Order: sequence, then structure tokens, then C-alpha cells
Amino acid sequence: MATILKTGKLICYTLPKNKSPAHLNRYFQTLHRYNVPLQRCLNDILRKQNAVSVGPVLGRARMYAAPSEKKVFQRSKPHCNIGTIGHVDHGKTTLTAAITKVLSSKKMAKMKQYADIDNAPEEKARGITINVAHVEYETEARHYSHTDCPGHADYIKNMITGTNQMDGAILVVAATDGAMPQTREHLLLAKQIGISHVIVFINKIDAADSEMVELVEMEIRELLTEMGFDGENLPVIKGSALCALEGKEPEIGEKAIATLLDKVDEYVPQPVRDLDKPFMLPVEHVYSIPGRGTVVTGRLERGIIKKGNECEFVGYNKVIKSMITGVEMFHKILEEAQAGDQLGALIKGTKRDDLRRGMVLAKPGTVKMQDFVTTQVYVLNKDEGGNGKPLVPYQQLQMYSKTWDCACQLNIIGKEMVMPGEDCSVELKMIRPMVLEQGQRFTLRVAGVTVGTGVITEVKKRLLEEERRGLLEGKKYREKKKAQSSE
Amino acid sequence: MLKSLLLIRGIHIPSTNWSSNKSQLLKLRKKTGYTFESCKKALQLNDNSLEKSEEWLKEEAQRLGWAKANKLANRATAQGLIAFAIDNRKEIATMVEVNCETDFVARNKSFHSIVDVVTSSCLDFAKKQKALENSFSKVNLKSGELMALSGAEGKSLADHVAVTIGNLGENVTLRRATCLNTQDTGLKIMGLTHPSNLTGSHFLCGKYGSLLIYRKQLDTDKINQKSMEHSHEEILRQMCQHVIGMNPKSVGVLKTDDSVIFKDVATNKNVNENEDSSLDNIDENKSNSEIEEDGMLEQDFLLDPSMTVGQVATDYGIDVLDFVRYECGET
Repeated sequence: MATILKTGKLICYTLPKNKSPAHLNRYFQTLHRYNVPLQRCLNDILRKQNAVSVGPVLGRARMYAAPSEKKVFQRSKPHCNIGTIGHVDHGKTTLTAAITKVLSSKKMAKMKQYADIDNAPEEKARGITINVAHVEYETEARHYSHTDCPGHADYIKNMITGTNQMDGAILVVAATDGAMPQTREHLLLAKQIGISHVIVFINKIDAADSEMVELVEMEIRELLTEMGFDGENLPVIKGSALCALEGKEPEIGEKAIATLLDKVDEYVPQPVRDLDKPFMLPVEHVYSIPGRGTVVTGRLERGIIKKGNECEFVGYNKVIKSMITGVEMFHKILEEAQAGDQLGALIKGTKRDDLRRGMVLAKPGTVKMQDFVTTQVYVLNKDEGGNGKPLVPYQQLQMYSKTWDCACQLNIIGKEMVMPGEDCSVELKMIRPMVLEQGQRFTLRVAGVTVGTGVITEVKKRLLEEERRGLLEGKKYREKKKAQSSE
Repeated sequence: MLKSLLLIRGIHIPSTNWSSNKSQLLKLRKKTGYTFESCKKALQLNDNSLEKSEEWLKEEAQRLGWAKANKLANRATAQGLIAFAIDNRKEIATMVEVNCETDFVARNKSFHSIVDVVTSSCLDFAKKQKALENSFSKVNLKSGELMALSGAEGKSLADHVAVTIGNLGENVTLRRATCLNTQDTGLKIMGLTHPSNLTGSHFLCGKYGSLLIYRKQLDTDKINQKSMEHSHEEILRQMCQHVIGMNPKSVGVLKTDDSVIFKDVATNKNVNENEDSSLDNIDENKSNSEIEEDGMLEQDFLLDPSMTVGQVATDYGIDVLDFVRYECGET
């Protein structure tokens, strides 16, 4: 049975057990009467969350009332990262300002002035200077972080250092100009940083006639298809950001912005939350506690750990199976730990010497050791703390990721070297297999100086033993090898 | 796909004035790449004739370009490209820097083509310079001087730039250029840009560029000219790469062979006589190499840090006389 409770400001509801369409429909209607946004209910049903725990809720509603209403909302809405791309004069910044304005009238964003966004402050993420404006807002369905960068290199840096992948992008095109020659480059960038969902906003339709707008749409769809996007079906919204910002002509102003946001909600898929993934914890320390056994500590990166979970330690070419017999946080026993918690886990039947920092505690079979990866690397310039020298092929570097580090050899793709301040696609071969996966971030150091940072874009086949031995050899060995193979 | 759809629609719908207008407009836009706004105006003024409109647009582009250029003149240009050109005999060379606002534009073909125009007219300019006796000539051009050079189709470079600005909607500036001429002096020039895969239509261009003026020593008996030809090219390339990568400030002084031999003898002696003093010697060497070298020939070679550039140059019989290094956006 579904329970719906309404107090002064807060609504608590649980999901009905019987999920037949008719039943759900009735349930929604009831919720709708209480002014719960429909989009949100649907989201909740789909992801089975937000439903306040099932049970005798009646009469205890206050227990779930959070200190402030706003906080409840923030937690319940899934997070999503989007950004704007487009030509400098086509109104990216105006659009961003307009979005915040429209949403701020619903108290779901803080109004930002054009100038606040336009002077994209230089941000220091992991010691790297990025020209980027981050704006935060929420719609009925989701919470968004909106990124706007002036240049290609800035987007790449943001991808490499950012903790989150951009899930979708809004391509802004002015109806007066149509697609610019460099729009191609904008779409190439989107491809490069892994965005497959693009929404088009045709701006400045107040300055163009309907015929032209139609042609621009046709042209941009064609271009998108040519660049490998779903050009024929992706949403194209027409409006004027300036009108929305100035509060004129709501038909093409405010309403267009609202439609755009609805489409973003709809079209950009829901990212999988860290909590729903299988658990993983990079081991920071291993202790032996007399009378209890071995305890490993670390920050749970994703998933949920419960007492009694089967687990696996992976790393340093070893896989050790075990079981978690207890979870502790701040010296208190926990029933379960969630992603983001710093915790200690008591491990059954494993010696302290078998485990070491750099291994990963994970759900059995969910992580693998790898030693050959393709990555996107940004090389720090001298102001950012780098050593001011370029990376050259076959250089030996120390790679740091999660809690482990490992020596590796560099192979640059498509260039002869990587200058400080540049980004490049780079292959790394490691002398030891470690836990690696796509999207993992790492740092590169040479002789104690951080020279670069990167993200893994592709995991390749494991190295052969012979290839691994070759990694440590010098230039002469490689030349000999090359001569041999050419014969 | 869409295009074909449109064409079909254009044919089937009874040709009202509106639809023919529309397909004409799209055709014109496709062909010329000018904005919808100007295309529409062109068609209106020229009774929907494609040819006439195109001509009108071309004339208009110059005017619009200048208007746009004046409007955008104050916007900062920190991105762009470095390009170089060398003539077939490797005696005349030029390197130019062209700036724009975003690196998106720097990757675009339209921008590459303006860089090509600028580079080739600078190469023509370099050809007119006379090499000095027993040495080369080096002329540095600033923005204003570059704008006044004449480019293709008898227009000045400033006109070409204005059209590009109108097309791309971003400010474009010609920053600087260096023209080298070593005709009849026996000197040769080698060049490289980084990243070298970023090619324009004719010339190599990238974010960094370097030109190296050198003399090949032909009298070295041990070098078999023919078989060395390839690796010579390669080592010169690597030296250009070194200039880009290690950013030397001057050519530096080549340590003569005598001093090297003398040093060898000295260390040998030390080894024979006394181990401690040889250790001292090593320490001394170390402390010397720790100081960042600005002279190119004294720097450790980028691709093989166990040698200095000077040693590599001597091994291959190359005399480095001068180099030019450009970095895009540097002040």
C-alpha cells in the first residue's frame, strides 16, 4: 500500500507495492493533488529512491522533516552536468544568464548577471588554471551544473581535471548567422570529450524571420548528422535569450527557455549514480588489531558496503578473496557505509602482510588489473608547477592514481612531443598491472615534480611479459629491436 | 539526406514565390558560406539570380569584413597559429604568427587559408631581400608592415584579413613575421612546427615554430654523404624540435674539441691516480649541469639527455649559426 502524508510544508510518500499501471496512475493523481511535481514522482519510481522508508509512517512524519526544505530537494534530485558550446557572439553567456533568470523566478537558481558569467574566472582545479564559468541551477527533475568555457583547450582541461563527465551539451547558434565555419570544430570537441547528446538552441530569432530560422534548423541538423550525431531527431529549440533576460516577448523568451530546460531533462540521459554501482574502496592503510584481525581503511568511492559482503582485494598482480565482517566509522560500528564515507573495514581471514596500500577492495569480479592504457593528458606549464620541459616519447614517468603509484613508459600519439600547457593523447605502459578503468584520473610525476595530469580514455590489451621487460631498457635496446624486426 | 528532401520538396510543391526563394537562399548559402542574412539581401537585390547575387556578395564581403573588423578590433587575440615556409633550395625562409580569439577558429580551414596567404606573401617578400656578404639577412616584420604587404589577387593582406574576419566573426590579427635569406652564402635553413600534424593547405603550421640556420661541413671524411642524407635531415628536425621544446635563448658557445680532449685526459689521469679526486670532478660536473643552460649548444639534447646539443652537432658535422623560435601568444 502506498502511504502519502502531508504536513504543513513537506510531503512524505512511499511507493506502492503493487505497481500495475492502473494502480500507479491513481497514485500519481493523488500525489498531483498535493502539488508534487509529476516529473519528480516518475523519476522516483524509476530509480526507487526518495521514497521514505516503508513502514508505519503514519503519525511520524515529522521525523523525516529535514531542517530546511531546500536541503531535502537537493538530495532528492539527481545531478547532471551540461555545458554550452558555440561561437563567441551567438549568445552562450546570454543564454546561461537567461536560464538562471527564468529559474530564479521559481526559486530554483540564483540569478547571475551576464558579466558574472562572461568574465569566466580563472579557476584552479588540481593546480591547473582553467578559464571556466560554473553555474548551478535546478529544474523540477534534476540538479544541474552548467559549464561554459571560452576555448577548446579549456574544455579539454575541464574534462581531464573535472570530477564529472559532461553528460550533454547545448549548442547555441544565432539565427542571423546560421552555423559558422568553426561550428564543425565545436562539434568535434563535443565528440572528443565524449558528449553524445547535443541539444540545439537557435538564438536571436527576434532578429530573424521565420523562414531563415527554418533554414538554419535544417542546416544545423544536416551538419550534426554529418558529424555523427543524431541530427534528425535531436531537439532543436528556437528562442531569444535576450528577450528572456529582458523579460520581453515571453513567447520566444521565457517560454523558449522553459522548453529548452524540459528538453534537456528529457533528452540527456540520467547518469548512473555512484551509490548504485558495485562497491569499491582503494586501500589507504592496513592495520592488524590484536584479537580482531586485519582492518583496512580508505574512502569508499562508490557503492554501499554492508557487514557480511563478499569482497576481493585486487592489485600488484594479486587477487585475494575475503569477506567483510565489520564496518566502522569514527570508532562506531556502522550497519552500512555509503559512497563518500571514510571508513575502516574488518576483513576475515586475511593476513596483514598480504594486503598493502594501493590495492582496491571491491565487489568480486567488478574490477580488473590492467597495464596498457590510452589516456588524455594535460602537461602542466611552469606557472602551474610543472618542470617546464616537454614530454618526449619513451620517457619514464611515475603514475599516481587512487592510492597506488607505478612506473610507466610514455608513447605520444600524433605528436612528436607534448609541450607544457598542451594536451595530448598518450599511451602508457606500466611495469606492473594495477586496478584501472576507463574514466579514472591520475597524475604523472618525474623526479618528484608533478608534470601532468590525465584521464584514462581506453583500456588496451594486457602487455606480454617480453614487452614488459622491454619497458625498462634504454634507447639502444629499442634501436636494436627495431633493426631486428625490419630485417 | 535533408538536402535531397529539400530539393524534392522544392520541386513538388507548386512553385510559389516563397519556396523557390527558399531553395535559392539555401543554395546560395551552401555555395558561398556567407550568413543567411546577407544571402537573403543579395537575392532580394538581384532578383533571385544566383550568379549576380554571388558577385554582389563577394563585393559586399570586403565591405562587411572591414565593418566587422573595425567593430572587433579591440578584442584580444591570444590564440592562433605559427606557420613557416622554406623555398626548395632551403635558402629562403619565413615564419609568421597569425592570431585569433579562440582555438576553435585556429583549427578551422578558413583560418588555415588566411595563414597560407600571409605565409606565401611573406616568402615573396623574403625573396626580395638580399643576403649580406658571407652571412644571412634577417628581417623582422611587425603587424603594421605585414598588413601593408600585398597578397593574392592583388589585394593587400589587410583586405584578406578583413574578409576572413567577416567570415569567421572573430578578430584576426597578423602579429609578426621573420624573413630569412641566405642566398649564395652556402648556409641552409631547416624549420619545424609543433604540433606538426596540424597542416594548413600548403605550409606546416602549429602552436610553436622554429627555424634553424646551419652550415653543413662537407669535409668530414668519415661521413658517407649519400647514406647520411636521411639521418642528417632527421637530426636537423630533432634540433628544431629541441629549440621548440627547451626554449634556448641564444646559440651559445660550442666547446671546442681541444678542451673536451683535455678534460678526458685530465679525468683519465685522475682515475689512475686517485679515486677521490675523480669523484670531486663528477660532483663539479653535476653542479655545472644543474644550472639551467640558456645557450642551445650547451643544453642537454632533448631526445638524448646524455649528450649536449653541441656534441650532437659536431658528430653530424652541423654548424648552427642562428635560430628563430616563435610561440603562439607569447609576449
